[in-house]
Amino acid sequence: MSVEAATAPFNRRALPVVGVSELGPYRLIEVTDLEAPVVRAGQFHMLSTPQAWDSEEAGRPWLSRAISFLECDGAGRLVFLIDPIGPGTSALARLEVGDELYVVGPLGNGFPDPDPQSRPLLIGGGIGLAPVLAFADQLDRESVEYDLVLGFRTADHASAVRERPGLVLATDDGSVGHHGTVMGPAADLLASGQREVYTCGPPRMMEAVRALCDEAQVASWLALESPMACGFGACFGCAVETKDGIIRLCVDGPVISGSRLVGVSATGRVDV
Amino acid sequence: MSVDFCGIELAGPIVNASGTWDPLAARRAFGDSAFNDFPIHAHVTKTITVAPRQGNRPPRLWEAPTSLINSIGLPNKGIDAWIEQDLPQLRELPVPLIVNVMGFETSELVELVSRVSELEGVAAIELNVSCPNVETGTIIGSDPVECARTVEAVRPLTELPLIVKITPNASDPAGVAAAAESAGVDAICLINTLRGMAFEPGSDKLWLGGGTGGVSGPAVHAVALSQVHSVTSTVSIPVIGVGGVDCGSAAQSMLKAGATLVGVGTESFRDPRAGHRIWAELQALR
Repeated sequence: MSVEAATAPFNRRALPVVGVSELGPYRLIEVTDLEAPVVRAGQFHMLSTPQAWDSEEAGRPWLSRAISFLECDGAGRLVFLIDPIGPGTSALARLEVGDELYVVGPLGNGFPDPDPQSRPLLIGGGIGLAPVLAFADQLDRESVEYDLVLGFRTADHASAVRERPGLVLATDDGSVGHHGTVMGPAADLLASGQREVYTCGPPRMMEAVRALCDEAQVASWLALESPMACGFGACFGCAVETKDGIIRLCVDGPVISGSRLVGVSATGRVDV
Repeated sequence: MSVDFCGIELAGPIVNASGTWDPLAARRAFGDSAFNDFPIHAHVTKTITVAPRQGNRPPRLWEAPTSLINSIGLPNKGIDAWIEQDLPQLRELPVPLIVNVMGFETSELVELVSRVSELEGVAAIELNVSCPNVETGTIIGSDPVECARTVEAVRPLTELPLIVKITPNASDPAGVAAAAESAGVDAICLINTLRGMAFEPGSDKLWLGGGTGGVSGPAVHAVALSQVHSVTSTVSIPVIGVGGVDCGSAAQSMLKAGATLVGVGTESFRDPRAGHRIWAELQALR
């Protein structure tokens, strides 16, 4: 059963943090969102914190950060996975139970329903696993079978994901699963039947996936990232170049068909 | 408490800075409440040009301390498509509509002001003069003579209130404002963004696709206050004070500096209902 991409409550909402935990190098943050509409995997929220949001370094972070959720069960449970790589994500990773998280969302379009004639192939890399796993959960609920390939730098990073049926793991250092990137297992699976590909990960990985799908004439859906100030179409900052012109990733994405792109830009994830 | 601005009655003094709020995109993201529960008291459109513009190549944004550097490049669908596709929806807004236009030469501005002036549902026209005159290379809004010449060319074309949005990247913004007043504008809006730049991390390349960009946010608020105060001390027409207003007390400072209306810009990126919040905070301070 498919769900429509939801519109967000028209507000920046302060939600209570009810759980935090370490998952390898990542931080898991759970909030309760009782106003949450039913969402689609691949939609995102703009996150910031009321406290200490500008104390990481002089005056930063200041803008909210666009983060795709890992879990959203439609009953109030909303979970984000944070990779503390910049001032904003580091401030988010410092949240503790009892703190509040500022949330605007859900925003954007989310992954589309799979074509019933093809078997979805889900490919995630690093922190990009969040929307990919959310989509896997959505497909589980809809009883749609799929294949899932997740790539990480090390076993420590890979420890963020629990064992699930059909999961293929790859690590750059070979410490767990396939030694190498996701592209080896992904190419094998792509050749094994009629496929449609759903992916999120580092720009270089998504570009490799896009190019592979383009060559194999397989439909691909990429959850892209771009520096974003607002998340709801006001700033025109999250520009992404497509074959038919520049789009605003927040309202026209973040999920874009690979067929619309000449390539994936490397400037998506800098200093977050 | 309503506010009279050039004969337009507003339910309060909070407007948006041009280019920082898109009601149609907000309706897609938030549904009809983004229209019906409109967070500000008048809407200023993003700059409209004669021809459609894609805007600058990405990346377009950089976060600096309590500020944002943007290099957007005025993407818009052009006046024809805007009138046909956007205006009918914008007429449904529950607040007055101020249309911001920019021409790359005087003939373009003449066309824009003439056409916008005839449209039903437009309360006022704001001129974006933070662009170079293609004939002289001078940024129109940074030079009193250029600015007056531009205003004189379009003043006779409309009976609607005409606002000039001047740039802070000028040696004497008050001089430009005074020249615009003498040439017949009804109001001044300032500040626009301050020119800035950023380097790509770990590189000596400029980060923004447009090379330089404009700085906005609380970091520029004190500069804005000083320029607004300087202009309101010089002219007798109303002023829209814009620049780093993120809370009620910052809005109150703009009013103390002599502004009639207060523009909220970048803060709306962090909080989509910032205009509503700032108005509530301002009322609590009074």
